[in-house]
Formats: sequence, C-alpha cells, structure tokens
Amino acid sequence: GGAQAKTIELKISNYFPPPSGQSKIMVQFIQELEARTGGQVKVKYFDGGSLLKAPATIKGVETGIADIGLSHIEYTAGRFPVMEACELPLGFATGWVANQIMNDFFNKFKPKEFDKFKILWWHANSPSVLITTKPVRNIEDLKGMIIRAPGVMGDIIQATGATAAPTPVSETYDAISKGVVNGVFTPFETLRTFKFAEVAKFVTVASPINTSYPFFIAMAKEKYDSLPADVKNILDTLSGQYRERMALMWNAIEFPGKNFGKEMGVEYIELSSEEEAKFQTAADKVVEDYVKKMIGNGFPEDEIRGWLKYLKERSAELLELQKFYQVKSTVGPSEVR
Amino acid sequence: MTFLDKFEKFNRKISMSMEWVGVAALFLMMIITTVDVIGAKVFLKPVFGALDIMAIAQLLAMSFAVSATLILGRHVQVEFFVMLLPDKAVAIIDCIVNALGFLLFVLIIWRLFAFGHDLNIDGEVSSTARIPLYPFAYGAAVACIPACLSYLYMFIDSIKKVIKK
Amino acid sequence: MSPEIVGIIGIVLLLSLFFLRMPVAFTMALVGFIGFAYLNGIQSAMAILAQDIYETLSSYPLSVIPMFILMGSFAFASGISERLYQTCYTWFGHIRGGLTVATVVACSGFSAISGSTAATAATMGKIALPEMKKYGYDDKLATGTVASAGTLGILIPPSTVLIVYGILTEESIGKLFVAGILPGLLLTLFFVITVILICWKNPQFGPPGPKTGFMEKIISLSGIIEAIILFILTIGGLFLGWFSPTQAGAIGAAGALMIGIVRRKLTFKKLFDSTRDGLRTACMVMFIITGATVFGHFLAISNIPFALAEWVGNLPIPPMAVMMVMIGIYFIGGFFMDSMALIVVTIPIFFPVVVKLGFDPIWFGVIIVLISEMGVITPPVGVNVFVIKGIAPDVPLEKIFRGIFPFLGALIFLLILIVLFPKIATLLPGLITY
Ligand code: NA
Ligand code: NA
Repeated sequence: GGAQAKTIELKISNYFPPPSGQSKIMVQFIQELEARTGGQVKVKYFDGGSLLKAPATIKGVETGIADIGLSHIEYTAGRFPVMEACELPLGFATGWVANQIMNDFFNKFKPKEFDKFKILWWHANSPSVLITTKPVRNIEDLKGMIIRAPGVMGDIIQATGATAAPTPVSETYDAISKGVVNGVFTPFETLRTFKFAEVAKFVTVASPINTSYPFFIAMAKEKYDSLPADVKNILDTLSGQYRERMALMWNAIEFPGKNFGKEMGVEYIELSSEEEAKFQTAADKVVEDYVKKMIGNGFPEDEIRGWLKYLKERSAELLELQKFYQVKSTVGPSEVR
Repeated sequence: MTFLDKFEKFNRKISMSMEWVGVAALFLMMIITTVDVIGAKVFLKPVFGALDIMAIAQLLAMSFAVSATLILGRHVQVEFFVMLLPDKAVAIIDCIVNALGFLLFVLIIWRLFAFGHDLNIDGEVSSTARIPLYPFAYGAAVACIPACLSYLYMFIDSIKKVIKK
Repeated sequence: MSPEIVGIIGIVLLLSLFFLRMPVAFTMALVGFIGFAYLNGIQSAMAILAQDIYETLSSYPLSVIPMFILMGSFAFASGISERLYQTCYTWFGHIRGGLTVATVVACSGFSAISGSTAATAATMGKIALPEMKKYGYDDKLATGTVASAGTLGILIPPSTVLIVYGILTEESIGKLFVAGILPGLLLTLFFVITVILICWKNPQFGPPGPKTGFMEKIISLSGIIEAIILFILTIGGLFLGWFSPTQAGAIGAAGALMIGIVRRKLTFKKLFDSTRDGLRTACMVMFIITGATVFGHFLAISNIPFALAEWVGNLPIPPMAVMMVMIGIYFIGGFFMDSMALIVVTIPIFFPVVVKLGFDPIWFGVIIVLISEMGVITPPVGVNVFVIKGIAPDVPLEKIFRGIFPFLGALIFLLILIVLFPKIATLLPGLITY
C-alpha cells in the first residue's frame, strides 16, 4: 500500500446537450483526463444542464456544486465587466480568431474579476449572423423587424434600427415559426442545432457587427490549488491542447450548419461595402456606450481604450495566423473561406 | 390573550399584508406582458426589459405569498395517514414536522440573504434592462420571515399539545 | 455508503415525511437539501438551495403558470366559466357524465394554447371544478378528470417538454410537435371513453340533468360567446404570431378581465380577491416545482440515473426488451420526480442508448411525453394532482389520486398502441419535407 494515491472525484458540469460538438469534445477531455492520471481522477459528468443550468454555472463552481463548469459570461451580466470587452462588435473575423483572442486578452490583462477562479481555458462561438424570415439586403430592411438577441447582442441589434427581443432560447424556434420574432442573431451552427433553418430562410452576414460570447471552462481556484502537483500538470497540459481543439471545433461546426441551411433552401446574403459601412456605424455606437459605462464604473478611459486597441490589433494578427495555418471558416475574408 | 396568541395574530396580520405586495406583482406581470405585446406588434416598441421585469415580479409575487399560503394551509400535504393515528402520536408528529419546517425556512432566509449578498458583491444585473438583482433576493428573503415565524408558532403550539395530552 | 444507497434512503425519507403531513413542496426541498449535503458537502447544498429557489421563482419560461392561473381566476370571477358550463349542461347535461366529457374536450382545446400540464390543470380546474360540483358530479371523477386531462397540455402542441427534449437531443422541434398531434387526439378520445365507462358503471358519479328542448339549446348558446372570444383571442394571437405561449397566459388573463369589466361582473373587490386567489394557487404550484428541482438535483448526483443507464445499456436482451425496461424505469422514476426534472437528468444519459439501439428519436420523444404525462399524475409526487388539490382544498389528496387511475389506464393503453404501431407517432412528421 501507500503507492496508490487517493482518488480525486471531480464533478464537471456542461449545459450543452449531449449530441452537440461542444459536449462531444468535453467527453473526450474527460476521458483523456481520467486516462492520463491513471484513474487517480474520477469524473462525474453532467451535461444538458442536469446539474447546473447555464446561468447558474459560475456560482455553482464557486460554491462547489460542481468542480469544473462550462458556460459564458453573458449569463451573469455585470459580473465580469472587463471580459465583456471581448463580446463587443470589434469585428473578430472568424470563430477561430474569436476563440484565440479570448485567451490572449485574458492572459494579457488578467482581469481581477476572475480572482476566485482558475480558468482552464476560454473559447467562443463563431460570429453571429442575422437569421431572418425576410431578406436583409441593406440596413434599412431591419427597420420594423424584431430580432431575438439578449444582452450586448440586443444592444447591437437596437443600434442597427431593428427591435431586439430577449426571447429565451428554448422558445425562439416557436417564436420565429409563428412570427412573434422575425429572426435571430446567432451563428450558422444554430441553423442545424436549433433547427432555425426550418423556420427562417434568409441569412445575412454583416461582419462589422460580428460578435462572440466569451465561454469559459472554469474551476474554483481553491479547488485547483488543492490538487496534487502531478494532476495540476496534466490538467494544464490538457487545457492547452483542448483550447486549440475547441477553437477548431467551434469553427468547424459552422459548416454542417451552413450546409443544412443550404439543404433547407436558405438564401445567404453578403453585403456590399457601402452597406457594411452603415453597420460599422451601429457597431461603433455600441463600443462607445461600453466605454462610457466602464468609465462610470470607475475604470480610467486610457485603460479601457487600451483593451480595445489590443483587441483590434490582435484580431488582425490572428487573422493572418489563421491564413497561415489555412484554417477555413464560413465567414471572414475570401482567403479563409 | 397569551403572548403566544398575540404573536400568532401579529404574524398572521403581517403575512396577509405582505401578500398584497405579491398581488401587485402578479398583476404587474399581466400588465407588463400585455403592454409589451401590443407595443411590439402595433408600435414596434416593446417594453424595455419586459422579460427582466417579469422575472423579478414573479420572484416577488411568489415569495411574498408564501407566508400567507402557509398560514392558510394552501400548501399541499398528505392527510390520510396521520388521520388514522391517535391524537398523542399526531401531536408528536406535528412537533417534528413543524420543527423541520422552521429549520428549513431559517435556512432558506439565511441562504437567500447570502445569495443576495453575493449578487451585490458580484454586481450582477438583469440581462436587458441591467437592473441590479440583489435587492430582489433580499426581498424574497424578507418575505419568507413570517413563514418561518409561523412554523415557530406552530412548533411551540404542538409542543404544548404534546405536554397537555 | 454508496451514493445510490443514499439516493434510495432519500426517497424513503421523502415518502415518510409526506405521510407525516409535511407540505410536499417543503419536504422535497428539505430532503433534497439534506441528501445533497450528505453527498456533496454542506456548503454546496446551501448554495444549491438558494440557487434553485431564486432561479425557479424568477424563471421567465415558468411565468406561463402564474399567468394562466390568473386567467382561470378571472374567467371564474367574471362568470365566463359559469355561463360556459350552463350552456354545456343545457346541451349535454341529460347524458350521464356529459359535463365531464365536455371538460375533457375543453382541456384538449386549451392544450393548444398552453405548453404546460400544470398551467392546463390549474386553469381548467379553476373553471371546471366548481361547475361540476354545482351540478352534483362526483368529486373523485371531477378532480381525477381535470388532473389527467390537464396532461394533454404537453402532448398537443405547443409543448414545453417536447421543446426541452428537442433541444437536448437536437431533434426537429417542428417534427416533434407534429408527432404529438395524433396521439393527443387519440388520448382525448380515450379519456372521453374512460369518462363514459366510469359513469356507465357508477351512474351517481355524473347524474343526468333534465332533457332540454331545441329552442332552449339554441338560446343557451349565447352563454359560450365570451369563452369563444377568449379562446379566439389567445389561440388566434398565438397563430398570428402576436405573442408566445408564455405571453398568451397574460393576454388571456387581461382578456378575461376586460370581459368581466364590460359585463360589470368584476367589482374592484372581486378583482383583488380573484387576483389574490390566483396568487395563492400559483405560489403553491411554483413552490412544488422549486422543491422538485432541489430534489431532482439530489437524485442527479446520487448516481442512480447513471447506474441505471449503464445497466440498461449492457443488458443482453433484444432492443425491444431494453426499450420496455427503459419505459419501466421512466414510469417508476415518474413516481418521484417532476417530469421536466426527470427528462433533463435522464435524457442526456438514456438518449445515446436509444439511438444506438436504432429507435426513431421522434417516436421516442412522444413516448417520453406520454410517460411524463403519467408522472405528473401518479403518486406520490404528482404535480397535477397537487395543483388540483390546491384548487379543491376540500377534496382529500388520496381521493384525487384514486380518481386518476382509470385515466392512467388510458395512458398506458395508448402507450402500448404507440409501441405496437409506431406510425401513430411517426406518420404525420414523416409528411414534413424538411
Ligand atoms: Na400544449
Ligand atoms: Na408522479
């Protein structure tokens, strides 16, 4: 005896449904974690929100209901104001770029709001597109339309002249099919995963208002610190690998979504550069509102502008990197399509 | 009138008054949705943050009604088994159940205050209208206090019955 | 002690406290809390208690329940339900159990508006129970009927259970909705037959009224005008895309309120009193759902669902036998858990098994809804029965539970039919081209 270390049980919570790409990758992560620790770590895995629903995840991790949780920061609006900079419409060109930049931003600025947590890694959905029941060929077409978009996404939608509605995601399909809302502002993948392509036949890509949610895989810092060094090591290594795999996953699941839409007869609309400029004005307004809000929260303006400058420059660099790696996306400039 | 009777009467009065807060909140839910629907469809101007207000109003409506519903015995319970037992046994059972109810509500009040405290520290707001959420968690906690006191009263009352028999 | 054993002890404790007359909502919360504390530490148990209370009571999708309950209260206070049942009595009162048959049909119609069984039972209970009592109908028959027919709310679209199932399994919600229509109509028919059979065996349950003349029938039709206006307002608005099912309840409540005011039936006092009464019912229902959520979280970490799924997945028997075992597990699970909690906890675990065995996911969705319908009326945790008990406080709970048994039989009969003839569920969705 003695050689066998005590088994560590980790509860992992994920609100995505089991057949989703996000859940499949989490299952692989868990299997690898168990295997590499030689069974020292035993995981109890809860998906589909069976232990913690999306809004409850971060608190659940904090209080030990789960040890590791997957969710995104918009579910607890106001709690992570600095990281909210990453969900502004700053024109992250692709899902791959958005995934990388969340991690880069976090590592560079290390926002205090996450002091209680060990973030294993960040990830992000691919940019949201306008999935609508009537074609949106120019910004004026949005006038009079009601688009499902909560939180910051809603602010963006309002800025374009449409009306934003924060319909719960579980009711959105029904709401679109009956015309309660005229569309939804989500990525291509939702055409298939949420079956939006059955009820909405037009998709408009308006890259200036591209936005993504910062998704986290979070652990309570105390819990992480309590792990033995070798387990921490394995967890860190795996986090690094899965950060990359998750970025590719988010980027890749867009294609089946787009293809499913094509089969359903969805028309894909790209905007002219003059039209894009109008959307840029809307995006700028939302960014400026954020700056004002954060100044109100007591952050120096220079610091806020510094974050935004970094995000813009870094996203351009990352796009070049994506071209170099030849990762293909459903959106973005022609070189990465 | 004994002190215990006065306590019960006072508690009942507080609960019934608090219930009207719940009535107002429930009525507000109906009004907000109606105005929101008409506003969105006819004037393309939905009520800003209607869903946020619905969620908050519902929390207040339900929590402010819990004490009154408890006192009025509106919470569903299984009667038939206890009815078969002798009075003495029933009195002892009531003692246990009321003590558990009291403890549960102490816990609920305490944790809802703690929950509100966390919401405040973390600066959490509603998703659209960005309304701070902590006051409503505190409100729900306060609303449960008379329910807790009712259980305390019922507990003491059931002890008296055990002793008497 | 293994977590599974703790889970089973939790269930035993739950039943014991039920029998000791502790309110079911608080029992579920307390036992869920204690069990969670034992398995996962006191800190996280305290956290999940506060979290579940706050999240459930402030859940926007659940607001469909208080809003439809309010609609029922206003319809009652405005005399809409009274006049509706007068008309029904004039037309069908001379038939044994005629009003109960009409109630089943009304529940079926109302299901097209509401996506929730609790909302359907609460609204229809508020409308139908006082009226059936007035005409001398048996309590057990009346309450059992409304509790059971209320379950149609999730079989006939829209349906929150099917939406959640669709999201958890990535199946087409549209196809799932369509799949529910035929079984929903069949179930309505079976419930009607059940009522007729009960009244045929027990003539005193639904005493026949006097025969009425043709002219009397025609004149009485004016009594249903308001109910029809209310129905057209809610269902019409739903299909024209003015509002969602969640919003339909509020619009319906406002509509019933307006009718009451126009007919000068609603004084301020009556308005306040009926809102307060609706609030009390809604509070009772919402706390039951809260308690069920806490308890459901305890069962989730008790490992019971996982252990069962693993066991079922490895059974060396043919797929159809595995399906039977699974249906049995859901049926028994429905005794103790709220249908939604049960689905959220188990579908992620069981669904992969279903797919692996080659069953049609849409068909399985309908099966799941049918078993959920049973779960909300079976003892000891039968949310619909609790709802009806809250509306009819003078009827003993066990009497309502006894009242649902014939309808449970009808549900099981339909389940067997759909297992034998899957086409009942898959025919209509197969016609959809997407
Ligand atoms: Na329905
Ligand atoms: Na049940």
